[in-house]
Amino acid sequence: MQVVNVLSLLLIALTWLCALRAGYRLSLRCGVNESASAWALACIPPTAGLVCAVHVVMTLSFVTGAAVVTPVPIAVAFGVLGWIGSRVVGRLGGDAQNPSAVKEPPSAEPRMGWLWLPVLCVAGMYAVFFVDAVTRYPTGYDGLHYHLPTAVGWMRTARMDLSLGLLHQSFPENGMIVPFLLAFSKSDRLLTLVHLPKALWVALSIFGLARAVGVGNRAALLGACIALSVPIVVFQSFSSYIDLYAASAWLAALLALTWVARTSDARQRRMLIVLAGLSAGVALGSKTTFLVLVPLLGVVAIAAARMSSKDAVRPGSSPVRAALWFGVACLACSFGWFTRGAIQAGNPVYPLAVEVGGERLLPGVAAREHFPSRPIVRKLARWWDYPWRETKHSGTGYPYSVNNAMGAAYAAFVPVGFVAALWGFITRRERTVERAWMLIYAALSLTGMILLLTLFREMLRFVLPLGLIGAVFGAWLVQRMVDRHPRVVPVLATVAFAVTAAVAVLKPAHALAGRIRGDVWSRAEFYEMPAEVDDLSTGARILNLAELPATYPLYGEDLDREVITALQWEAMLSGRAMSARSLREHGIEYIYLRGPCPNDWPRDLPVTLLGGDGDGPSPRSCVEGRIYRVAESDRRVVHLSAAPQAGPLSNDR
Amino acid sequence: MLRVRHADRLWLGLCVLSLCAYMALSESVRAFGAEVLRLTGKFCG
Repeated sequence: MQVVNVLSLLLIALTWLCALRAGYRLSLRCGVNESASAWALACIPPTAGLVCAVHVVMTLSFVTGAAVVTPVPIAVAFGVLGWIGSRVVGRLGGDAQNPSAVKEPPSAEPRMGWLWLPVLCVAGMYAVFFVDAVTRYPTGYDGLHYHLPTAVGWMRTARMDLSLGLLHQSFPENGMIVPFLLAFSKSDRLLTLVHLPKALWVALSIFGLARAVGVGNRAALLGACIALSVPIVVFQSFSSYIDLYAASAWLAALLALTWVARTSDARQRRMLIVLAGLSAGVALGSKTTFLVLVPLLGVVAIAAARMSSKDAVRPGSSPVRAALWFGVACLACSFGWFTRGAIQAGNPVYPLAVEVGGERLLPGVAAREHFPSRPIVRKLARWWDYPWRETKHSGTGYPYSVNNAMGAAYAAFVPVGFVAALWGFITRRERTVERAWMLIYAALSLTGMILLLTLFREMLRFVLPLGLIGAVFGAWLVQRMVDRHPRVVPVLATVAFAVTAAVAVLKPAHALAGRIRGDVWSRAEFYEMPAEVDDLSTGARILNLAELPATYPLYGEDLDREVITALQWEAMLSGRAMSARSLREHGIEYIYLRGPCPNDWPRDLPVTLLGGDGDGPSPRSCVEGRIYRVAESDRRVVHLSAAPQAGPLSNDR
Repeated sequence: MLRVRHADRLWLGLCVLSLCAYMALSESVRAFGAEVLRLTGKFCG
């Protein structure tokens, strides 16, 4: 690891912390007088600043054609953006002591009492996941298949180019910026914890969103616990999926918008809308599904700008201006991906195809090509009782996972809270800001349900932020019940959280116990690969013909190898069969296989078994993972691109 | 006031019912039970 990279990473970390502190002061200046909300909004400037800095450097690399996406220019850009940000905030005027920023007086709310028990259940659940995560290597199907390999690819090439024709390597990946930077530290154990702070960000945002509808601290804390206990959240906190990353930014943006309606000063409102836009931009650049979810926030921004707080100096502000500020800020944290798509594929939203009336206007792939479509009645039949049944509609295995289940606490409080809130809308006619936000949350939740069954093709994690808003309804219901039933509600909550925690921790606890019992600590053993995989040389070029998630493990502990997936290999062969010549042409040094050999595996392939069990150089029935070395005389020394259309990968760094 | 108290009791009852429905119907709880039985069986014998 180069010293200059170490210094740059330290500088980035330092700038991040300074920006967090400045973000907190900014929140106070914007009139955010509730601690959890202030800290949730404080996370926006450092997160957005780092993302924006990477986008600036990335765009520079597209324009100049130079491989400059490394920690040094990113640290410089981040520092410059931080300085500009501090100047802008300085011009905002006011200080933390301005009248609207005075801390709320301590409320006369009763103490937490037995409500600490549910909080302890959630803390215990995260503790088990944490211990498991720090003693293992990164996991997650999508993460090992393409999220982490994409980040490693950026690190190796110092570029963030598109891989035309390769869907998974072409997604916007704001969520992989921190793993990309951590990859320079050559320690992939850190990557298991990279999304844990996002769970905390979600908890702070849900707490703030609950407070925005008049919920007290105790019930708001329980709402945050409901969100944290959702299995998708806890599993993704320690995995390499990016739905949680994007959802945390989206929820923080929504929180900023709730404060727009609660502050009186025009400059504070504008600043909060900009903060919301920046956070929404982070989400927009994280996943293509947010091309749908972020415009929903745009609508909320317009509504928030029209709302007047109780002591507003003037009623509302121009919705057009609010939309403009929101949109510009949003693009500041996502423009790099749109620029990349426009320059390299002729489609800003690549890999998503742009179609009008069935006619493809811009290249890419349509969702229907990857997800099955079912009649709406059948979809309703599959989903109406989902919170209680938790049937796994996508993927296989244990129901609690990165893409399935909402947990017992969610099932106990959220559906009832939602119905109770709807009943309240019908039976009571009040005109308060709190009620308006409840209506907005309800509308967003309903939109989430509709999107799940239509555009998002029943992929639950695609609507994660909208699903997590449900925790606010749970908090609101607890608020209503807890004073009248101070014993029953804590008991009910404790049972619900304990059930969720028990079901969730079984898998990590079992895996951890298995590793301790079997003394499985090496990388190769963890990924069930031959030990020889750990010893391959630096810069080795490996063809992965096993399952796609084997891609990341093959990069090795120092992430210094080059791995070509079966999908990339297919593109490289362009319809030809695999042969000694094709291996030679593409400089393949090793082939990794698990299970039977492919049908087109030639008998005379010049390979020797290096590691793993097999009955010779070309076994047809072996199910173990095994690595073959391609005969020296049959490969070129010059390495070609792993992604053939994306420019050469240099191995000389 | 009385109506509010009755309504709160109703919502609390529905929450309890909802949790019971989860325990009875959830495939996750069933999978957890099966896994615990399997592991216990493996451990004991």
